[in-house]
Amino acid sequence: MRQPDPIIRPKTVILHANNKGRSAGVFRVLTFLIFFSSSCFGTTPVTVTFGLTTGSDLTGGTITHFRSRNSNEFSVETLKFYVSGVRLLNNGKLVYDEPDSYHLIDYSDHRSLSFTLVLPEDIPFTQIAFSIGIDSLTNSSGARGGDLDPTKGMYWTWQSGYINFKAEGSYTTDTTVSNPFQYHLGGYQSPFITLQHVSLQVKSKNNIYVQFDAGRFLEKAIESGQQKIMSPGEPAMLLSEQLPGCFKIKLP
Amino acid sequence: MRKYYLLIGTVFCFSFISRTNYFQVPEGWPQPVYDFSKNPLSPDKIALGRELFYEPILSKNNIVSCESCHSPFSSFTHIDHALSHGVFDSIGTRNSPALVNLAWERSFMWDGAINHLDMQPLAPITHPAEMGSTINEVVNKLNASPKYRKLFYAAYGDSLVTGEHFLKAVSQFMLTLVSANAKYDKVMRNELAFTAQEAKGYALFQKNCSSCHTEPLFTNGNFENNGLPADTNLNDTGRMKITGNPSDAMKFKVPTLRNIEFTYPYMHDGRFKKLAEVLNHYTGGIHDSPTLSPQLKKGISLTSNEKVDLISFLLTLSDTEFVFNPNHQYPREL
Repeated sequence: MRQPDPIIRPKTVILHANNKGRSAGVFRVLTFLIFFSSSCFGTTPVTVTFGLTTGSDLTGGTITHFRSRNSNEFSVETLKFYVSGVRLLNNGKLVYDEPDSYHLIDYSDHRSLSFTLVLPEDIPFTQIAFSIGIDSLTNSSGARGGDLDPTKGMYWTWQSGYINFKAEGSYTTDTTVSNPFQYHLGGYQSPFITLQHVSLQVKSKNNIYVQFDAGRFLEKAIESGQQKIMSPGEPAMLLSEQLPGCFKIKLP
Repeated sequence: MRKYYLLIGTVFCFSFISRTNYFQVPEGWPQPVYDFSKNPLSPDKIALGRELFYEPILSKNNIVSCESCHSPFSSFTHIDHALSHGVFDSIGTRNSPALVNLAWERSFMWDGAINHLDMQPLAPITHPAEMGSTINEVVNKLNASPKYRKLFYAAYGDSLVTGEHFLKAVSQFMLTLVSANAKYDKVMRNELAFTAQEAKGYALFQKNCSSCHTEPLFTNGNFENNGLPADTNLNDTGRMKITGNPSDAMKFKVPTLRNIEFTYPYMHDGRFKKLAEVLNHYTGGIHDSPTLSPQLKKGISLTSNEKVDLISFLLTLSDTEFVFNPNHQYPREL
């Protein structure tokens, strides 16, 4: 599978190369374009990286172990979710809104764990905001490619809709050996909307390191009494509501 | 000023036709629901979609294609089978619907489980009683096929098969399945006239049936409980399975009546073999329940002569040009 191109290229660069030195008028336009492109080149890349909170261990690419407060041990084989609508804010004011912003974060593929936002230089920001999952319009607008391609395993086939968040594995307690769990959280239709919104304060300028507290999420999931959620509905909605509280920023 | 608007309107119509000359909105029809700007039709993509539609490697055991349950000669349904069957002779729980005028459909499947034509093929490809495969397995098989690498390159300028390109190509072919040339259509265009019997049938149709089977598509696209007593073996609650809402119990999508002569058996579970049985149901077999369609609460009464008249009208919805359209058949030339 090809990876989506993470670099957003300014279109003006192509124009510049194709129309080099035709006439004075064109030249003036070009000078502007070059200026514009150079200002594009002077962009600040901000890398957003997803990791796990301490206590969780990502080893071997696919298997992750956690030991939670209640001494449950979780073995997670699959942990994937969509991060969409990434925005940066400065004291509550929107200063950057990533275009076509859909990222599939898959903890078994380290390349998927970070992406780069390209924003004009010197835009200060104090906050990152994003959604966990896919908005309803995208859910009902037909086939999409890249991270949204249905071959990514995050689309239901028997009923249209993206799976916003997927965690699969097993857990042990003091009294039991192995209990499998499967949480496929999704559903975009009222009254069981599962899209969640996260907003976090950031300190660093070029790198934002977001941590997911898998132990906390799985504790909440087990507490809910559900070991399997595979379709849209109330259980999926209620468990999704636990997600925003499981994200935090790792301070530098 | 009015002339000005007319001119703009004409230019707009022409530009629309030239943009999608593989798909034309028949005169007097509503605009399609499908957003063609997200998947503009092209001859290479339609040809690829047609090839894929007839391709049995889309199934687990390489035997079942889309055509297995959606044959062109029956207006793209599975005749003679109440419930359609798939890989390893497994039998599903519903009667395969006809594939006709899909660009105007707001949702797909008897219960509306699928929200967009592009996403529809995922359901039969994955269902264990239909094609029993997965989208990834299908994409891998297609990527391993030199023939398909070539066809995808011709269609998309990229030989790599992706889920998106696969689904959009199948949509392209399905979008071309427009049936708008039945005798009914010719009568509406003043090219032909109904016989006296058909005209009587048409009047009965408009009085008793058209609130759900709305012209010109002969469906309003809504979900209705048409009073069929539940089959306790199948236990199919219809739309409620999707919404979880008890007010949707036993509701199924209103199917089009176009080409109904060719699409027997009838109803979501194929329980009626003949049109006469369908009319007998509507006139004497309605099972009352809280979700029964309000239009059926007061009952429909038809004399036996009227039933014959109504059926003679329904037969004017047969579009033989559509059914035998060589562009829709198995692609032998490739």
